[in-house]
Amino acid sequence: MKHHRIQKHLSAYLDNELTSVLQKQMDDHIRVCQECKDMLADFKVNRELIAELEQPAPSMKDAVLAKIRETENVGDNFISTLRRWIFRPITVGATAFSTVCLVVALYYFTYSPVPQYDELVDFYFGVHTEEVANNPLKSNVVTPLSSPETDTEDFGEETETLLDLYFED
Amino acid sequence: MRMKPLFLFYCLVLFVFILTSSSVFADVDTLKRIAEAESDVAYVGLRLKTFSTSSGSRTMEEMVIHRTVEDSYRKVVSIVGGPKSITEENKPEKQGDDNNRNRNDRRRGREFRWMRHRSQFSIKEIELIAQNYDLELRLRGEKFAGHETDLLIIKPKFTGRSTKHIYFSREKGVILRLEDLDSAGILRDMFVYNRISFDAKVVNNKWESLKKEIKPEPRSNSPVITIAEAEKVLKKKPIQPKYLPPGFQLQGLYKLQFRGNHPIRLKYSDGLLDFNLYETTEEVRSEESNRPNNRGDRNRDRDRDRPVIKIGEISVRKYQRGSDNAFGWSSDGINFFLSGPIPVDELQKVVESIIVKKDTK
Repeated sequence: MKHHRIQKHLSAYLDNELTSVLQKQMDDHIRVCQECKDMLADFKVNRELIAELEQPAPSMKDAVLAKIRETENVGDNFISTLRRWIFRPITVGATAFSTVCLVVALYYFTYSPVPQYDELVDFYFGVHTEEVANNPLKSNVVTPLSSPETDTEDFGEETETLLDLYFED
Repeated sequence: MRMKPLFLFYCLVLFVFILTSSSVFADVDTLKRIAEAESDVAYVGLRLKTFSTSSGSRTMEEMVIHRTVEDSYRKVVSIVGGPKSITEENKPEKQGDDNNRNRNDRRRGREFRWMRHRSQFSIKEIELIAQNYDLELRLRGEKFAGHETDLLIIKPKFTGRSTKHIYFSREKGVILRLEDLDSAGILRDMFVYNRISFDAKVVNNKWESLKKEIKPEPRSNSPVITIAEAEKVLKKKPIQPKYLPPGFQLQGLYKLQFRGNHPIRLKYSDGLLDFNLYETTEEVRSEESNRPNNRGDRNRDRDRDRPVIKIGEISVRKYQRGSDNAFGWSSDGINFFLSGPIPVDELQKVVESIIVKKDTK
């Protein structure tokens, strides 16, 4: 058997894929041929190295689980990072300062100790109305009534304003 | 013998004086008696109260309980009719409905609750009434809520003032019907009791049953102060008008409190009518500031449209709320506000006297 033919079948020989006749011929030749014996030895070493490198192909389930685990790890990392960030003294301080500013702004716009001019005007009118409403010896009517025909634009408003003032705190 | 006609004349003058003065003083005494009865006599009753303006009338039924000066409350129990009842055809329908709904929403919760019925009568004001108004007592015997009444008419000595008709219980002195007539003699405001009891037992029983639902409001804190104290508050002398309508006098100075602001109130009165001058040197936010709107905005919106007049170099804004006319302006670091149910031209003269007085200083 020529060398090159032997070397061509070395891989099949190692895998026991040859016919028994061919297998016998290969055994006989390798026993006597140092070159082919060395080549076979190299083949074996390579095979073992490749086997060590090879991983079994992951199943679909394993792949999904692995992905989930990976995501969970990322989430855990994000939460722990966020937690660390939130509880940093500078963050706590800034948050507290912003909250105080917001509360002060809300207080200023809804209940400021400095009254708005309009509110003060309401208050002034209310002071007088309260006194007159409770004192039968006071009067609040002086100006004569105008004709309703000449005042249809604001019909009823004056009466309603009087009622509003009467119910004023 | 020579002295006889002169003596007779003096006797006649004295007789007329005694006759008329006794009648006048009797009427002042009647007024004092009414004022005392309104404070001292306990009663519980239901009355109808009516406001009238150029644009219509509103009537409400009100319960009043007066046990002592402290335990004195009133509560509207129903309002008769609404703005629609005046005339429906003259109103822009949709807008009118929306306005009424908003107004009713704002007012709801304030109207049907007990409010303190603070009767404030001062002898000084009664004396001022006697000074500026003619008092006439008519023994009528007309009955209201089952009680015989007499009528006291308070008529102005000066033109452009209102008239008052007081029907008071002959026995108790409490007012059972009250009519306010404007300067043209038109009936504007009135109330009349249709049920009233002066029985102490009835009043006490009613008080016991009501006192749980009556939540006393804190009394408004506006102490009377002197001019020197007012100067301390304002950190400058309070400005007083040079001109006052005939019969008006400074009745008192009060220190008010509204939030962090302490305006000074100068109250002027002719006995029946009051007008007030408010002065503050403390910070007031401008009208244009961006504050969220709430109740009273309708009035404020109307106020913003009010005309601004120039008196000297000062811009003065004119206001009108209900029967009150008012002027607001600022000068020399003082915010002034003058208001009262006084004819607008009279009130403007008061403003002018303040501004001119300051200018000539």
